[in-house]
Amino acid sequence: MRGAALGLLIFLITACGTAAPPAPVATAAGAVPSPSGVTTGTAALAGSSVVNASPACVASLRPSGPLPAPGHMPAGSTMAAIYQRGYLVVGVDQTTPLLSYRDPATGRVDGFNVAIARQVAEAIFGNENAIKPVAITSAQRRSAIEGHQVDLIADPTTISCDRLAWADFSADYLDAHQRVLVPSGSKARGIGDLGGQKVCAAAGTTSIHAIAVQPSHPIPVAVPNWSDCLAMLQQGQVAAISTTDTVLAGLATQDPQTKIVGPRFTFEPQGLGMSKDAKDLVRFVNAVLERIRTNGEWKQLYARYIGTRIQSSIPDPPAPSYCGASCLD
Amino acid sequence: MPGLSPARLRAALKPTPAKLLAAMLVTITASLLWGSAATWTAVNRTSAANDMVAATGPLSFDAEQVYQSLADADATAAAAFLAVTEPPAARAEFRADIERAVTYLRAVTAADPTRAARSGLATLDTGIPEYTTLIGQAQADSRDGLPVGASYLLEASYLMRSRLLPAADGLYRQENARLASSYAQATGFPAIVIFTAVVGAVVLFRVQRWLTSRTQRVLNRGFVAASLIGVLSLAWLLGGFLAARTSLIAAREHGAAAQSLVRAEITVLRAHADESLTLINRSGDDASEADFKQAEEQLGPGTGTLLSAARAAADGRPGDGRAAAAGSAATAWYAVHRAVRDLDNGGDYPDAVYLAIGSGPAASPAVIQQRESALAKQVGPGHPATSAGAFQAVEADLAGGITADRASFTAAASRGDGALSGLAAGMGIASLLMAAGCAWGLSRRIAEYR
Repeated sequence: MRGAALGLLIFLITACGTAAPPAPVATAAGAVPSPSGVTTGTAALAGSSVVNASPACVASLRPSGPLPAPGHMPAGSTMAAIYQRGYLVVGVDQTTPLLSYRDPATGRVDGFNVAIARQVAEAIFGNENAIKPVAITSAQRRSAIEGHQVDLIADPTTISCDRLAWADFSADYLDAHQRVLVPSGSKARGIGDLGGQKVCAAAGTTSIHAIAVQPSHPIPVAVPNWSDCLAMLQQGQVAAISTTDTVLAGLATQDPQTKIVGPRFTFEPQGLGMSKDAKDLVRFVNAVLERIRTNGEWKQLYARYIGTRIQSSIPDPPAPSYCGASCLD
Repeated sequence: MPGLSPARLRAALKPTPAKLLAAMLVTITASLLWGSAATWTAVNRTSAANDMVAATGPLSFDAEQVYQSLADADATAAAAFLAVTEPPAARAEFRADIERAVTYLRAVTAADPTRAARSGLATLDTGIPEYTTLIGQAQADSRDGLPVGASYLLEASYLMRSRLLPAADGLYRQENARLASSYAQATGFPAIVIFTAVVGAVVLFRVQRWLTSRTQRVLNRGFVAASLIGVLSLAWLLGGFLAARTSLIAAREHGAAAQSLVRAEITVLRAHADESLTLINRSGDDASEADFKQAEEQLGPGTGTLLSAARAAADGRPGDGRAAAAGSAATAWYAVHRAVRDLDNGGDYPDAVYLAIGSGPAASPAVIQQRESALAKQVGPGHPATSAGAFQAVEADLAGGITADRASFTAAASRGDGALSGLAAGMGIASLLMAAGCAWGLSRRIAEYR
């Protein structure tokens, strides 16, 4: 009798065990979708640059005297060829509000960086709208310059020593510092709290490299466009985005449920990139920057596009640094 | 064997009731064997032909609709995203595409319980809602003027192309393989029928000859009747098989013509989505444009391309005219597409969008007019005003051809199915009659001994 009861009990227990619902057929179907072109870990570092703003690398070419009148470019100069063409071709990022983005409502590219490029067009043509924006991702900047597809790059770009191998830069027109953007509810208070977690930046940037070399060892995740980082952050596919505060502030404008946290852990002077074959254009652009620094235009543009999103007051423009006699060739 | 003299042999072969009874059993068995083989084959073929009309045929069509609807959704969503305010018609088309995909997916799920089908179904089951969520997010961001919307749209398209369309393609191939096996089952060589017919004929003939040589009667009426029924039923069976085979071969060719049109249509949809994605990505001639060029090469027209294959397959069939029209419409489309790329690469983004979809922000009418007159010179008068219009012309031609060839497939398959109707029952009855004839014929001989 007891044996029978025990047997019944065992039967009931095992019967319960077999009554579990059948396992789903294909678990692979549950994989989370992600943007295309995502790379993680060491693969994310392909084409990236080391942050190195040593004075020798940041120093640009001194303007050669005052700007010529619009429409009167020196014969044979790069600017004269641009004037002949009828428009300035500007490489732009279209996904970074504040600096360089395309307004979906108007289709127009705008932002602080683009406004500075428009100042260059104004100086050449007397018409700030004589620009042709060509959208390029961070990773495409090098080929766009080396292939002469653009006259200058208005994508947010850090002047760094290793980039001098393929581009010349204008003088520093905006100081930036790398920080971290996290969801509002995140407990991370800086890059130091993100060890072992996925942190996103665009491929081919200084930012992705800076993430990888942090002592806390975050996992770098590289994407084609900055907005891809925001999409991944919103979907919980990365824990944070880390790049310059200027770019982060632009991303944060698109999502009030995010916050910029932590200390600045890099110093990254921003420059307009140009071909190494166009030294005269570099000097010309520096003269344009000189003008907008001194006539107050720079502060007006900063106030219009960036305002107080990065610091509580409108800063003074960064002081330019030019190289000495060694690079007067 | 010394005792086996000719006289004893004759005596041994002389009919006795026991031998006649044995002969009766042998002939009845032969008749029933033939009958069951014929009935079994007829049932088999009828059900296969039936499947082509009512199960595997429609199922392969359903699976193809899942793929086509999803590819169309991808192209529609991308084009709608380009127009800043999403056109209501595009929204309705996108919804209809997703509904169609889900409806047909349900039909396939209900009809195909095989394990191979289930993994593809599971991918689509979870993937389609994920996809529509991403598209919804992209549209919401775009309405709010947030550039991040483009990232969601590109992610959605990547999900579609890397996971959903391959799963739908696998499903389509699987259902197509089932259709092909129905076809093979319905039209194969009827070896068992032929074999049992030969065995039956030999048995009837030998027994008949044995009876004739051992008895005084030349013909046995029961046997004659059985033989006659056997010959007639065999003729009916083979005639039915042959008629069905002719119709089913025609059905398969219509099906193949529709299939190659479908392959062309899917490639057209892919290229249309590529064009929009290139503009959304806004990075000039990128990977999507490279994919467009690849799709263009695959499509043709030209030797070895999908459109020329579709045309060859449709030759003389209802879809022929539409396949030919699709070729010239595609050439016109490529010209408009190149004009779009030229505008975009020249930095005229708003004009490029306008020429692509016929709406959008800040297009300058002068530039558009200039482009259109250049196009008229290139393509000839009556060219479509936008790339989207040119695409629709190609798609309409292909869709028309597919519908025509599909209808012909169903009609021919139904004819084939009809040619087999009544065969199975007929064969069963015929073999019973044959067995009865043999039994009756021999029972009269046996009765003579009483």
